[in-house]
Amino acid sequence: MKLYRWVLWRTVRTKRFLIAVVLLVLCMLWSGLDSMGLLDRFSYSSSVMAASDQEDESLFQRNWEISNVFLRYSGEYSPQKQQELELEYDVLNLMLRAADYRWLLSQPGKYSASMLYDQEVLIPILAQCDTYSSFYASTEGVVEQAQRIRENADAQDSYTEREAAMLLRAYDRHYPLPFYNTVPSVMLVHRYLNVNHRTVWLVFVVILVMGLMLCGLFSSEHETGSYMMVFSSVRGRGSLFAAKLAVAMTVAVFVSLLTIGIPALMLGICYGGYQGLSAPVQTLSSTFGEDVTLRMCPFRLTNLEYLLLAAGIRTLILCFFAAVCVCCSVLAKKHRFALWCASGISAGLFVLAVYFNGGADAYSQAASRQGVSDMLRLVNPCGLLWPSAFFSDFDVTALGGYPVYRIWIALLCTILSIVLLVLMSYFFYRRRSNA
Amino acid sequence: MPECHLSICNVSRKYGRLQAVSHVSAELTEGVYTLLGPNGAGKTTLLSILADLLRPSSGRVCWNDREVHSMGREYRRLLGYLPQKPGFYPDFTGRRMLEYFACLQDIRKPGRRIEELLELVHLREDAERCCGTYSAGMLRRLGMAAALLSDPKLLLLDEPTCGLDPEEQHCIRKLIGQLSGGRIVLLAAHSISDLEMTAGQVLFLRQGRLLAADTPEQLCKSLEGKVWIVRFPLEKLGEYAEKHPFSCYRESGSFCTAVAYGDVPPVPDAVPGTPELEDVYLYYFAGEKG
Repeated sequence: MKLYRWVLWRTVRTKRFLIAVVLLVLCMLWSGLDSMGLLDRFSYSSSVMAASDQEDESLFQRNWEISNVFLRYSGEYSPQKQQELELEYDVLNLMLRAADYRWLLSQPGKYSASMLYDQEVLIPILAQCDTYSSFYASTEGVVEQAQRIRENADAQDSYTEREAAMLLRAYDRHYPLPFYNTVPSVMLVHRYLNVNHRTVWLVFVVILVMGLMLCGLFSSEHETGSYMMVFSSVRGRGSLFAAKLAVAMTVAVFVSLLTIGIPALMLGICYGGYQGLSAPVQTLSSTFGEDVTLRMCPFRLTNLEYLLLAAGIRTLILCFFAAVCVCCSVLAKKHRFALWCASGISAGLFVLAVYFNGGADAYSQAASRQGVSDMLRLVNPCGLLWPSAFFSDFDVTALGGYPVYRIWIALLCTILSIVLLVLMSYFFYRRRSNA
Repeated sequence: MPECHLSICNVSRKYGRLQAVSHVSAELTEGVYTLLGPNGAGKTTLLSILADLLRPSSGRVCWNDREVHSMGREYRRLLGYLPQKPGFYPDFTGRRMLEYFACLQDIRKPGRRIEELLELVHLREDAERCCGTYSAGMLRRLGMAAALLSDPKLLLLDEPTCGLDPEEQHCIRKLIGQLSGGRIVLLAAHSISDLEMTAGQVLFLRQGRLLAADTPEQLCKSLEGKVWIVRFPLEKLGEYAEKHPFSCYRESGSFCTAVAYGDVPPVPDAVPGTPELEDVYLYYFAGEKG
């Protein structure tokens, strides 16, 4: 413990660490202000928030209408029917996004059709439908056809049976959907949950910050020339490695707390606290144009539980980045070289995750659904930067003929990656200390 | 079995094709030993092997009949090592650096021991200064203090006076002289003046091989009858140097004294000389560069 305190004290009192903390805090403050819509008055989210500040009834009326698209098209609303449809199809979600798209296009000069390519597919269908029933029927036919093909092809497929059984159990447990319950307090919970196109740059900042903080952890011994005296001491090998590794993970947790805590604190102070934490996570919706929806989440979670889970996943990813930094620091004798290598590896994995997550363009969307690419998306730890992608639907994959939730595979792959990096680092550290 | 006994048994170390240390064997007990050799002789490599920083390609090192590598922490607990260029964190003060090394050496409550060592190495007044402001001599003394923290039974010093001014060298030599009681002190050196601080054995290392290991007196005695001196006028220095393979020349006034080593006199008018330590060094290392 004493050695851990020494290493921690030594790490935090370097200029690099101080610069990294200042950089991170400034970026998180910026992100928090951006989340509150206070920086870019012309962004979609800020216009909504500005409208709410100005008590723009027409804007909120519009959003209520969008949220209640079922009422708008069918006039046959009942909670039971809504739930049945929601369980079977994602049609309402498709319609919702189409309605979003038309509203956005009506905002003069702010958004172009090319920014909203997803919705382009739906518009031709929606344009031909006068009622919800006709839209429903046009998509239902496609779904039924796909199901028939699947049933014939997989008649003897035990995996399909297992998956179907798992699906029924999953949605048997989840909350009923108060589909129209999109109050702003719940949106505050939703606002900073995931990495979206506005916060991608923050990931690069975090990668750089982790590198600045940790890349001198092991390489400093060679830079200062103290490694011979250190390695010849009683606790200069295994114990010192363990202490430094513990410090690296501590730094990862610290950075995670900053990245989560600062925006959360800012939003909480600005809006007087949080509400909706005990509401089901399925109440979070994408009515404000965010690409996050947990309406079809098969897990019985409250918003608070999901928040904690997402925070834990983010901490795990930062632990992965820390492990990469540790490995590079052990291998490199100069902290600059370690910084470049660690940053390059982490940033490269993140870019791959963005691409295979379908976030880049149509090609990446297509690529993300190919077999090998899909698996690469799963094993890349940076894929967990979008935890909602794993919770937004009944998302399973076949493993040895059994359906397994993809989130478990992704978490397992990340943990295994961390363990592998740590073992590799230890191997090279011992080899260097006793060549 | 004495309490301190280090056995070096046929130790070799190879770096690719380079044989850094070749079949070195020695038995060391309490006292000060000097490992003497020119640059590139393999002194640092041998010390690194003894400090368990390098694995020998062949052979073994034993402490009280136990192999040091298998002893692990237990061996490092009784080891103190001062490398040729000790490194410290430049932003740490001298005292803090010793506290850190005390933690690494698993020493509980090292305060008193640190104060004693700071006094011993004459760094008490400068203990609160950052290591980055220390001179080379001060860093070497701080390294000595760090090596002595655990009161080691085996103290390895790699060229402790290298690069220091005469005053600092004298200070270090005096320190080493005070440390010999109850431990093995093995120091590497490449100049004859460092032999002044040892009353124990001298181990001559050349190109990785151990040429001789004995006390200075015995080594000088072994050269009796092999040291030849010729005295001639200074103006004839060029003529003599061209014709005869003398090992060294010493000028005194208008005369020059040349020294040669061998079983037979190099010139008819050569007379036998009394071997000194310098002669022993030149006998083994004459012609070596560095």
